[in-house]
Amino acid sequence: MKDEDTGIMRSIQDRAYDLLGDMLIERDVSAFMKALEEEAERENPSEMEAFFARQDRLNMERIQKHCKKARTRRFFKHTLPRIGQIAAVIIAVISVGCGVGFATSKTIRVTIMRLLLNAQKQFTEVKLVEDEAASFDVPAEWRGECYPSYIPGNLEVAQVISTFEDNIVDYRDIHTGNIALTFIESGASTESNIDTENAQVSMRIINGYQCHIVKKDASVSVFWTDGMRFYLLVCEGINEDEAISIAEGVRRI
Amino acid sequence: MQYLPGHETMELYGTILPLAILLIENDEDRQFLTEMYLQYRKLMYKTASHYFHSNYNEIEDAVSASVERMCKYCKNIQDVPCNKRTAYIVRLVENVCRTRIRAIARQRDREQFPAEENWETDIPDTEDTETIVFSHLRANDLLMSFDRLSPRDQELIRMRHIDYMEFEEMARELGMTVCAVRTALFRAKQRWKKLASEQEDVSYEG
Repeated sequence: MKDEDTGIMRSIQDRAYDLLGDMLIERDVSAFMKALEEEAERENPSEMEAFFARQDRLNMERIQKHCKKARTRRFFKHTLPRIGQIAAVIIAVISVGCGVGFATSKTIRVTIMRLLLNAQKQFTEVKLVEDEAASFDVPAEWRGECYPSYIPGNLEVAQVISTFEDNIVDYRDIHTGNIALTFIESGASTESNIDTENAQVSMRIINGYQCHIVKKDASVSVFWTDGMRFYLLVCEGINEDEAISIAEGVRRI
Repeated sequence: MQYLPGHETMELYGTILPLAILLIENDEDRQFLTEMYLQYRKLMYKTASHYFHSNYNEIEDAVSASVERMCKYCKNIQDVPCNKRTAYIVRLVENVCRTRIRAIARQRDREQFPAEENWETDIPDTEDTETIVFSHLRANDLLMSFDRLSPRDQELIRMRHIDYMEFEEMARELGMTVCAVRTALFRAKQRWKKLASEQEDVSYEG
């Protein structure tokens, strides 16, 4: 027969004597309880009361200390791992949720400086000051080297896809919701196809670079290179002059 | 669609998590142990004083050790039915006291358990059921004759059938071999049954 507490086999003979042991304990309990009752009936305080006056605080502190240790053990063994799991899930959710949020709201201000000349009688003071009108915002995740400094007011950033090699930004018309402008900056390994069938193709110098202008229906594309990177500006529903203004506004950041 | 800015969300959860940690406190065990101590402290004292009489230092140590053991076996005590908790506490304190007495005896190098001539005794492998099962009257006779046993025999029987110690554990405590412990226990029970028989005869004659 197995002992319930220890799981160790005890013979039926042992179990029989165990029951006798229980009866012995019950007998001791009765004797002690009777002695306590007799002591309680005495008027004079006993040594027991003096004993508890000394010992109660110490024993309660022992209980407090044990519970504190058990609580700490339980916290590190069960609660902390669970909190870590919950925190990991929360952080994952925030990272996914805020990723898109950052893409649409965070920009970096690019400050454009202008030359300030202060002519005096004997000398001319020369210094750089911020050209606030020329300063512009760039999406925080843009990794390209250049960005349009002029964007028509009716356009807002729709999405940004930016890697070290290829960088693409789409702008949508806030009234129609359609993509109206795409600016692409690509590395040397990039290949691109531009629809020139039945299109008007012309060339123009913009910012010192020879630019190709392709005009077809309502679409105007402007592309050029600075010798290291390839730049493409695709405009839908924007006239040619406006498209050229946007191309002229592309600045190194 | 509006998104909660990432840094603000992180600040929000960074505040909640420490608060959640602070709020995670389980005082049930502490409350239970405190109630148990206050309810049974007098009984613990009385039990310890039964073993150590006027030796207040030993009584203090015994009660303190019993409180620590009560903390250690808190879950076990919670599982014990309420009507059996008193006996559990007395058993716990008695075990602490007897363990302490054995330790004192070892320190003083007393011959508490002198070696007997023949440890190679023939302990019957099995007994028939009739001799194992005690009738109610027989159990009463055994109880009444227990105090007439020698302290040594009483200690052996208590260790085995009240403290539920295994033979190996008993051998370690007593400084004996397992075989010697088995033999000593068997003989103690034989003497106990003999005393109980004498008790029965006395009752019958009375």
